[in-house]
Amino acid sequence: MRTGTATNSRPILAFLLFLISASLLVTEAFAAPRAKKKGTELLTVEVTSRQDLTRVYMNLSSRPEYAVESLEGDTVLRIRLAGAVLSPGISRLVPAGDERVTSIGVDEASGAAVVNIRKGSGLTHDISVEEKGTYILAVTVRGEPRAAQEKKEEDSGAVSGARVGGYFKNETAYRLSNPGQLSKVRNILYLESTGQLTDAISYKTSGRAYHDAVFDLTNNYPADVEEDLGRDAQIRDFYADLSMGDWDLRAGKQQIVWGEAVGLFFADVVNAKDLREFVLQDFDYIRKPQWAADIEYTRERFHLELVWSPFPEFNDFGLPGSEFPQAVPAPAGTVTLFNGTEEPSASISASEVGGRVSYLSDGWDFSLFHLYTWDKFPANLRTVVAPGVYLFTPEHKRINITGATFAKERGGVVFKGEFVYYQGKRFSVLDETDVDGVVEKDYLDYLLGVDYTFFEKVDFNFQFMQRVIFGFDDDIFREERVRTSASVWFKTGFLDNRLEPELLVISSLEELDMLLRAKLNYKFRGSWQARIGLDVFDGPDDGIFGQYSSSDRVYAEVRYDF
Amino acid sequence: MRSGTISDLKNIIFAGFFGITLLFPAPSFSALAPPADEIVAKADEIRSPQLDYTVGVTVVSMKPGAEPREARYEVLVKGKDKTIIKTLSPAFERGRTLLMLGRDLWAYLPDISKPIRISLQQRLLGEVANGDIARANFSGDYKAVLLKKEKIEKASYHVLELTAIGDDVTYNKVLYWVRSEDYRPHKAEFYALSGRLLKTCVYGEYREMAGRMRPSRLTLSDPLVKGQLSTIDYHDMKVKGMPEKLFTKDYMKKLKY
Repeated sequence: MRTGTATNSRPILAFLLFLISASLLVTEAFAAPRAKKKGTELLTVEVTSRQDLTRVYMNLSSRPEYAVESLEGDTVLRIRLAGAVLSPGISRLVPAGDERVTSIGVDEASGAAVVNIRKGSGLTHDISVEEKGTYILAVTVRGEPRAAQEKKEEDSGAVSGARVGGYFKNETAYRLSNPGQLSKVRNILYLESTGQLTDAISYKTSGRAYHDAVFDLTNNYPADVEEDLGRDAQIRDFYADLSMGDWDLRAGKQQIVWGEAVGLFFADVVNAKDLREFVLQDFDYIRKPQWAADIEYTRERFHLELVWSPFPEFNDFGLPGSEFPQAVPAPAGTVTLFNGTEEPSASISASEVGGRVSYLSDGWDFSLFHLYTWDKFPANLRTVVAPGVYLFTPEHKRINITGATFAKERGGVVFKGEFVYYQGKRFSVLDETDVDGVVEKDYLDYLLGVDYTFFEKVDFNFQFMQRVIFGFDDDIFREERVRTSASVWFKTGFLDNRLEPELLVISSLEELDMLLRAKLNYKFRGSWQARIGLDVFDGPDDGIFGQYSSSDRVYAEVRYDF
Repeated sequence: MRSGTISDLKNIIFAGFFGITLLFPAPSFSALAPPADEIVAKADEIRSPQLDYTVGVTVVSMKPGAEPREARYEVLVKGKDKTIIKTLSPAFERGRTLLMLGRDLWAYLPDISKPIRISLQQRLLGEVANGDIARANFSGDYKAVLLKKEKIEKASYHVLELTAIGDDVTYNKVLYWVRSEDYRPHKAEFYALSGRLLKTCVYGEYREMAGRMRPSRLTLSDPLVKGQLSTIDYHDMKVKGMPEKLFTKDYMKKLKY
């Protein structure tokens, strides 16, 4: 049983969490070295290397008080010499020239001299202090560097072993529109393993599991939304790559990604999409991996790709009551009932097949593709049960998709284009007299874009997009004969690109129907990333973006890669 | 008569001197040194194998008041103009790949799972110019002129001025010091079109890599910011044939980390 009082206090809690994250981020980003104190002087830092050990000598004017920290998975030893200052002529970057100790940085911070010794992982170290006129603090690193170990393995002809990596991530979002409330507290674990079985065969497996604590902390969503979004565990990649001369085969669960545009899915037509968070998720997670064989042939500048997917996947949509529910093609006030979605069962006859050819000529990157597939959006076949009562039977239909893309760089400007023609698309219509509530039309989606970097500092992208429906019917639900929209994107970097603000605005050009996404990304300590962001939807209730105008949100994310 | 004799003598002396001059021309600097472009080509051969090879690269960037930052890469080079740069660390950038086919560039980012066309100017390329990380042959991109010889610590160096042939190279002009006796690159100064010195590079830590002595460390410094420097260390250089298809944008997704 969840109490209303607890629920009401959560927005404040969320705001506090958000503010704490933001202040931590800003503090971390702008932390400056503090004023130094006079004391012991660090005169020189030198390094010697032998076959079995590497020793770093810190020569100090008086006996040091020191502390040692092991950072970044034991790959950095930080020696903090309390009260010490750097000798004016000391080198701040000491050549190490050794795979055991790869670099030595010398700095001052918070009234201490700091020596960062970057070393190979898994190596042991010890520290000693000697007095020889001056004081020598010696750090000795022992063991065989990993590079040498790997070289031995390679020289012995062993097949390279598996590599395991991944990340842990927290995504917390707070809905701004009334009622303001926590909308996501998702903890994600992603694991992947890659390896080479023979010279010709390699593999990748990966999986993601998450739990969204928003359903434990609040009582804002219906039970079926909690069931849909509360937790998940799925295999993302599970495939083998086989290489034979000019031919390559990737077989298994995978993403097959076509197209040139970034941030939009025009020519990216092979995989189904998870739209339960509209298009706000990371792109890699919007695409749903599917079982397929991807055969590729490469000859100089020519590339051919053939795709066969025997197990079709379909788009996922937000349920009613979720933050981003799918629009229902019915006038306001209509009672709508749904049968289960009819999906084709896995069989040879249900296969999706396609091909793509690409050619690179004088810097022009062209490709043509065709895909015989299933419409990843269901056609909502409608029965008018009684006046004002509709029964929908969603059903996936076959569709042909033909497209072309290009990209070319000229004078620092990258030009991109994507043209995608859909044949046999079923659109919903609002006309109650229509027999099944859908009409079949062909349509063209195209995009023209440019990328440019201003002052070598600000990355910029502009994209112009149109959808043209041929033989347009005025009753088609939430579509126009020609719909024109555009997007602009800016991204820059500060603090050696560790702090990166980013802004994306996508809007219809006929009316204000807009999505604004502002983000601030911060990377720190080698393996950590933090992000705060704002997503704003604006426009009419029946607009692509305006329909979610009550789902504006702020969010914070923290990610640790390993 | 007498005057005629003197005149003849003068003519003989002049003719003899002229003849000797033709036979044994006065030693000039340009005549003693090989052609400038040849010096640059020989220095290129020392900097990196002119064959297909792979090399590990560690870049440490240092700025005043900031902790040193380290990034590790694996670089694959094929022929004159095909390069792949795989980012191994930091962890959050692992999996980023850059493909350079001449002046055409693509970046593969793991979180969007597709190669995207980019320009040389794009920030996505990161802090250290990838031309610095990958093999950066001067031959072909620059026209060389031998300016002078210079003594540095008892060794003699050719000092060359390299001028960009096209407008699509990163630096307009380079001053290049190459040791006379063995063509080892010693130092390069990189200049903008305006004449401003942008960067200095010192080639050091010569070690045997891929069959000959090569500089294993490049130290790049910014003359405008005191204390700002980067070191680029090369290790595990191996001459190794690689298939053409590896160096295509569609293969980027298949590169293993």
